[in-house]
Amino acid sequence: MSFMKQDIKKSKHSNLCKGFTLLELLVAITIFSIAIAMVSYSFKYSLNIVKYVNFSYAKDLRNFSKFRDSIDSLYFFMKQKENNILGPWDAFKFLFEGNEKQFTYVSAKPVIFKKRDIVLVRVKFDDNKLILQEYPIYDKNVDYKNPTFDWVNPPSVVILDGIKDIKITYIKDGVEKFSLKNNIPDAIKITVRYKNRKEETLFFKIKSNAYYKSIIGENVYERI
Amino acid sequence: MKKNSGFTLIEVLLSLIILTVAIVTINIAFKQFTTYKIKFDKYKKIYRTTLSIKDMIETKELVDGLKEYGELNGLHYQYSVKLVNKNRNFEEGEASIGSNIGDFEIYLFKITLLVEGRKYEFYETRYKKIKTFKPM
Repeated sequence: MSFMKQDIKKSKHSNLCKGFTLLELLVAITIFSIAIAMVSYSFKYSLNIVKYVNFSYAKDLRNFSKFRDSIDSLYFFMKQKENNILGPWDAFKFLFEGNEKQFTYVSAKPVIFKKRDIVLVRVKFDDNKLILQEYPIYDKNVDYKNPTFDWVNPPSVVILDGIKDIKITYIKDGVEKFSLKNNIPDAIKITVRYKNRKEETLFFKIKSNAYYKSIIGENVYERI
Repeated sequence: MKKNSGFTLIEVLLSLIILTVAIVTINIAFKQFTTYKIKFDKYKKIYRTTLSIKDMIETKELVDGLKEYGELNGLHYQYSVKLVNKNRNFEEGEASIGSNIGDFEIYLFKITLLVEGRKYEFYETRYKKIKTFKPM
């Protein structure tokens, strides 16, 4: 009996200690490493989906591009002058008003009201953002002769975000001005200081050749 | 027996595989995201700055042979201006038939702009009023 017990114990012990050989382990690890390598290789190429992820800053750039188009299409809109006493020739002034933090103009390329011909646009620095607001000019209950932002919260689009400070200047006849009213500048310069201490200077030329047209126009009028 | 039992080799290897795949995936995705972000930021900066430089040049007085260098938003640029063509508007004089008394000139300039080694070419038209003899 004692021998039998010893045999059983031995057999149990031998079963417990039985494991994989080094060769088996190496083969198994090699196969799995190849599998991992193949999976990772395929993932490397399949993960190009990142390209199509809509980055938040892609939207910013799109809005910025639209904003540039809006300024490019600045419309030389004449508004009726307040308290007109000097006669009809002095009755109209260009609708443009700007200071260091915001400016207002009329654009022929709306960003928000896409189906409109021309819109009143206000670009302003508000709550660490540079935003663009629009207001349709030829609309019900709108005084198209002297349009103003009547809405409390007009629809807006964020152009630049994360701004600490902003400075807007207007270039007219080669001179940089901090404010401009009833006159169209040659270009608008926006200096932006971001929260991450980066600084960016942006120029926007008013593309319309109204200045040159006026030179030609003068000649035409002289002939008549 | 139960206390001493552990994972089998297959279990361990499978879990290792899953873990490796997860790590590899996350790593590659993160690397790609970073690469695209850097590329996109660079593109955004060059795009905005180049358009700004172009607009800045267009506000300046253009002269044939003008060459300037500068820096905007950390990007170096240089541009040169070349007069392509110059024409005067035609207006027939009354006294001598065939003579032109048009009093403004039209200039076509070609501007070559280099921003960080990238070359751009664009054209700009300018007008200038000139004095001419006009019969009263």
